[in-house]
Amino acid sequence: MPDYAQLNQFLYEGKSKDVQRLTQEYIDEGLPVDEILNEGLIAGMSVVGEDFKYNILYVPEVLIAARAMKAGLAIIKPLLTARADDTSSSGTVVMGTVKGDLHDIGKNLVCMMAEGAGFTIIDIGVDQPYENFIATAQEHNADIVGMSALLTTTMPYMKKVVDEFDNAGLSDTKIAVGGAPVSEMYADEVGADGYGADAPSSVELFHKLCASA
Amino acid sequence: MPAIYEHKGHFINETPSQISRDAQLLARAALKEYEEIGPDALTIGVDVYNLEAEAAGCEVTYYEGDDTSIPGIKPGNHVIKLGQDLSNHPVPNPLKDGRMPVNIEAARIVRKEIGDDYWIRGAISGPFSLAISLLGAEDLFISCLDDPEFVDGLMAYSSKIIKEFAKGYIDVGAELIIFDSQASPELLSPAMYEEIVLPVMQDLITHFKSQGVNDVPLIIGGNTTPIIDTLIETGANNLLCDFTGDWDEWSAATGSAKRAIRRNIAPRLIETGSLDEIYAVAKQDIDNAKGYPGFIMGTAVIPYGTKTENILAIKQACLDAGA
Repeated sequence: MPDYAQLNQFLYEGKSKDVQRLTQEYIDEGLPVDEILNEGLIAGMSVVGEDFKYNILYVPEVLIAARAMKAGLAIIKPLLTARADDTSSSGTVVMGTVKGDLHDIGKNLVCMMAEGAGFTIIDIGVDQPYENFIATAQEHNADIVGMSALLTTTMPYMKKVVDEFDNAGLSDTKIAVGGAPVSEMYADEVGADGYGADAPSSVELFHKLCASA
Repeated sequence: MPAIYEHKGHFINETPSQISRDAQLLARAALKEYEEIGPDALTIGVDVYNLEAEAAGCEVTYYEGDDTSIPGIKPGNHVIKLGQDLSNHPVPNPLKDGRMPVNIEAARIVRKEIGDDYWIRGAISGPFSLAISLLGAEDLFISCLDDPEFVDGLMAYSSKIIKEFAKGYIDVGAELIIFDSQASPELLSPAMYEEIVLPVMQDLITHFKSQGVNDVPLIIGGNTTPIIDTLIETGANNLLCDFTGDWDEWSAATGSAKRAIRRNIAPRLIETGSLDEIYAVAKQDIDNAKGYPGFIMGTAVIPYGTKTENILAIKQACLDAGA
């Protein structure tokens, strides 16, 4: 009988080696890979996200939990992708910080939490022009493009990216925005499909956007 | 007291990258700010979080031509390695390394032009923010749990650099202002702030006071309400309650501790609001602070290109309230 609560707990505490060991044990026991992923890893990471949202955990704890998640995923992912009927991904998200902005703490947190929630993340990095957002979204057939900005001087570029997606005929691609100076109102103003106030909220938003697509 | 750093360049039609690398331009921009805005203090600095790290070897990205982006350190361009022993690591010379001499020379010029009876503050990084610039954010945050001894060493190294840079400013007659927004409770837990940052910050502020700098504003952006008491313990006499902070909690805690509080207005409002809207928010903040003896009306970082009249609307609210 698998003890997924134990796996959740190891992940919550950021114990990478234990997560790796237990994940491997469950695979060796022949448990369904989807079940290990969903009930062992994703469920554990979602508790981390909730506790981060309510200031029970902070960035250092989230980072070590994400590291533990990665250790588990490293075992599971090859098994999932080898399957012809792999439907494990919750969706594909292209993430980047907009042109002129070199900040990446928030973006990286969103990437980690979203990956932990089962999304396929393509992180294009910081200081990104709209051309890179568009090219990467097209290349990976992305469901969502997530943009981050920390500066009031760089956030207007989000509108440029939204407009260029429209001009390129890609208005079906959902666009999410976030970052310290960004707000729900600003997201509406630039024509984005949603605003993520923090990493856990962004993951909730991604689920919502994928469901509405 | 507006927070004008990259926007300084706009006063003289230069970009942040241009003024940040040229002492004459930086001084000219600061003097123009003084002339046009007439703030109660001037801060010498543009990309205030990069100076010490750059002097220690981190590469800063600048923007050329008319690109008004703010210089910064790209992820990965850090100089310290995980676990590195820093006990004897070289400390930058503020008169020679990176752009420290640019800022110090600008402070000297501005002091000479304006005279002694005015606050001219040299911008310095706080130790946690500098440690992030030197090592990288994720590595530092993870090390806080994985390798606290290394983090202590890195914080001590950051502190040495900051003291040297501060000495450069003090020697030309400038006061100081500390920026440590990456130690915000939106990133680091209050418990970790207390354990990792507080002792280093206390030591820095005690050191600055021993050098004759008694007014030391400590600026941590974001909602720092959860760490008010710890911020008071740093010894800084002048603290920031950002526009997302809880004024009532702040004024209750800091009033009894006899600390000045700077209350910021949101930058987006200042950039895009009407004069009436900006004035009304400033007036509301001033009204809320009535009876608080150390209230400073401030702003979050003014975006490059913000209209001068928008900034002056805040000043007018202060003047109308009898400031």
